[in-house]
Amino acid sequence: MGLSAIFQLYFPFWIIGVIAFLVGIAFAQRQRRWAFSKRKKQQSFSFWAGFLAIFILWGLIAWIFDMKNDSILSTRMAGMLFSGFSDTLSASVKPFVLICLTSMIGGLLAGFSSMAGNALGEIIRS
Amino acid sequence: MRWGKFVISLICTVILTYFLSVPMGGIPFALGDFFNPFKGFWMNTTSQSQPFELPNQLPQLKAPVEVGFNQRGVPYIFAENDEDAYFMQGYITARDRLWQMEFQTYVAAGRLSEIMPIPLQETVLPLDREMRRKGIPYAARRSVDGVMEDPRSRNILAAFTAGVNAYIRTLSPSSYPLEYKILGYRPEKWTAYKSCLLLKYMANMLAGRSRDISNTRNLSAWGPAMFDTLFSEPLPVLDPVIPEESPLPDTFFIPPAIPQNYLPDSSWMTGSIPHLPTRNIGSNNWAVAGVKTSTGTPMLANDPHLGLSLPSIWYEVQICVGNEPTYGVSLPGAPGIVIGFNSAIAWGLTNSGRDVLDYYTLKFRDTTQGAYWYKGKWRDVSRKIDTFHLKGGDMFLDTVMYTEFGPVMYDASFGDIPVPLAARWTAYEPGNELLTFYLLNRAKSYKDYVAALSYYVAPAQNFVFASRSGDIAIHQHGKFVNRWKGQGHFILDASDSTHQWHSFLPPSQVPKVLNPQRGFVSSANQRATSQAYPYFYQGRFQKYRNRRLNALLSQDEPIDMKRMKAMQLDNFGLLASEILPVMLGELEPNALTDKERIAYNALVKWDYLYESDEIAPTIFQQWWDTLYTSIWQDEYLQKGLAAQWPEPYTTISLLKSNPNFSFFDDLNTPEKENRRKLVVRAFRAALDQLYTQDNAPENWVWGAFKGTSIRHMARLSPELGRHNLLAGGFKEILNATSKYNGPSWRMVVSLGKEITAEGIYPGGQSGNPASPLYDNGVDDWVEGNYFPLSLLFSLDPEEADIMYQVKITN
Repeated sequence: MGLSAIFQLYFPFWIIGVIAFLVGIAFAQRQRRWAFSKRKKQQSFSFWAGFLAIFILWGLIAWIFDMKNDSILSTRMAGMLFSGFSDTLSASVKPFVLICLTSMIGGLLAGFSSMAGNALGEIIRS
Repeated sequence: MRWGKFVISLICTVILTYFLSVPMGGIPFALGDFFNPFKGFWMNTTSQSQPFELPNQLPQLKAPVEVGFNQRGVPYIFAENDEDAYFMQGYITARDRLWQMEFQTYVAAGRLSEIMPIPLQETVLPLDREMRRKGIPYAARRSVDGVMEDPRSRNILAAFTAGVNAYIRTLSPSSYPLEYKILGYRPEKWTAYKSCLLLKYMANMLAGRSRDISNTRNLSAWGPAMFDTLFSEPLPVLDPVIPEESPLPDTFFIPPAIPQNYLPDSSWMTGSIPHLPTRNIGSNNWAVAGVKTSTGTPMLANDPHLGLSLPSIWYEVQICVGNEPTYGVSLPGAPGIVIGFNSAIAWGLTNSGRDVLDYYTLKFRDTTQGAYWYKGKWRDVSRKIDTFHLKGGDMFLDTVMYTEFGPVMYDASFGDIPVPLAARWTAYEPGNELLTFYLLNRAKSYKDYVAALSYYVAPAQNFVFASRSGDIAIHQHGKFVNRWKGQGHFILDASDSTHQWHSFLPPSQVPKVLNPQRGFVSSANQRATSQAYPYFYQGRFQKYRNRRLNALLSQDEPIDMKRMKAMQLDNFGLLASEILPVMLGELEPNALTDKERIAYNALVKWDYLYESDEIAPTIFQQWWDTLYTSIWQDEYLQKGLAAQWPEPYTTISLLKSNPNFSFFDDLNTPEKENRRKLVVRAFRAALDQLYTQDNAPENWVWGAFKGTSIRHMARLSPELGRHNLLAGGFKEILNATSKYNGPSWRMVVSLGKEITAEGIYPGGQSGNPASPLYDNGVDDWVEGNYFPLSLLFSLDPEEADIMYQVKITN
């Protein structure tokens, strides 16, 4: 998580995919060393590990920014992005929805990358 | 099996990454970039603690500079020399308003189709083509030449440009202003040309419309006699800017002779006009001499009415060079202060409304349109290919012909106009408006003010002036053509040499007055002069605000700052007061239904004030608009005539003087209508509309019915603007707040021993929608409140209003 936070300052968003991928590979290698896990669960485990790491990282950063800003921008952006059903969301929910969306986007990408990395790691191992 | 898992998850990852990295489905930004909290819009959130941060060192400065910000974010710049002052103005304006500055130059340069979302391209490209065909970039390039001629304007523009660029260099994609991220593009380097584009953007907004085509069509459709009835200006002139008893210009230039048979033929009847002049922009300004004020010293007021937008069109700033501070509003993108005051004088602007844009038909040698007849010779047309780099990668090419007059704005490929038309416009004349403002900012006396104005070309303005030494004055300045009577009223013929512009009026001949007997000077976009003025001009002139303003200013009670503000906020509807009694007189009170009676009673009791919580203005406006439309629409539709209808003032005169006027007959009915029938029918139709649309009369309150809106400058989203504001006033009223236009800056200044000033604009200093200073002035503006404007000679730490200050070394 810390690693991707640092890299994020210098690279576009997809760097999280690359990092999650590499971490996935490394993770598969480690699993071999300690050989604790059941293979079948590994796939979903690696997905959720990557997903959660970035979900939390992106969500946390967005949340901190939002707190410092009194949600001025997130309220406007939520209104702009969800213009079709903006009226159905109350003002206090808008920032929360936007932070979740941010987390989801980062989380999904990291999750799939991590899963792919893990699968490759497995191949390398065998 | 293992490979399968790998391949499937890798494909998922790649597809997801792809979807997140490219703009799709009409959304102009890439989701991944936009949501990434390390680069995207989250980075644009501001923290409250340090909103005004500036660096401690800028190597481009010649000497140290001090900058302070008050709590509304107004910068106070203290510099030792001009270059540093304007460098800092550029730097700070860019920090607060970079996107807007650049966006306005994209509009002016006809480049919106490069940046606006692809689904909007069909709407945006014609606007871009119009700007280029009208020659706005051409005018801006000529304007750069004018600015560069004088070392003073050259220096300040160079310094300002360097300041903007110094700020742009501090940016990275993560710190670009929000709109760049939404639209997915990046700031370009600022140039002197871009500042000139901005000035031409203003010239186009204020003096870029002409009624030549409309007038020509109206003349062809109705014949000269009826045209006169419908479109001539009332005489005597209604309260001109320059009081009638004022002295005329001392030396007379002979106006050119009127050519024979200059009236155009009727082939002009067909086609649609792309744009008619809008009625909603205008301004008020006035100055009152000490004899009429409570302080015994002059006071000055100005409120320019422009399209309302966020970010706002104005940026407040104080610039102090040496020990000479000037406070006021600037146009983001140009150095100096446009409307403001210093320790000796105050000044303000209103638009002159004079027509300075003419269209010429061209007689071509043959169908290739390679040469046109001008001054007894065939002249070659030069053709320029304009390239539009459309967003998405496509290119669009447009060939524009250029003539001695100017660009051929309309031809077979653009505009629904039967033959090519070349534009001739004073905005093409190189001028030096920047130097005017530079000198006005430093002016100490009437003499300095007059000297400053002599450089001014376009858009022509009424410059109101007051000095602490007791003078008040108003001059109408700009480049004006010495016209023969009627020239430019209709389409002109380029092949007839008598139709060309013969000469310009020298600055000595402009309408002007210093310290008139009546103790005040004022303007509200009306005609500048009475019929005694020896030079012919035409245009679009206000008939109501000017009379109301002068009536208020002529009252005997001494004027104080409170009354100055009350005049800016005055909601009295002079138009309504002049026609409503006639309209009400046509109704039979006993024959009204219950629903109609409610409306009738509200109108009878109405004091003609367009207050936001009243229902009477809504009823009147709905009724009057219906009546006005029913008078003119049928005749214009029947002839298929795309031209402007007569003005409300003329319509009202006809209603009063001639109840059986031929246009009052509704062509859609077999019977013959007169004023009474139209008025009664309009009353019923208006109420039907109100009752169906807004239900019960309680919901008809004026503020909600009008629903003033301050839209985002690029209209990217309603969320970036402020809507349904409950504001009083309307067009043709001193508080000229209509739906999308209104007082974009209200300023009152008292030039006594102490200088006191108050002002407000409907926006905020920051252009960042994440900032609390993005729209902090809006609510107070709606309420009619003002903020104090303090002129500071130094950044005294005791000065309560300064929130943050920094000394910047070189």
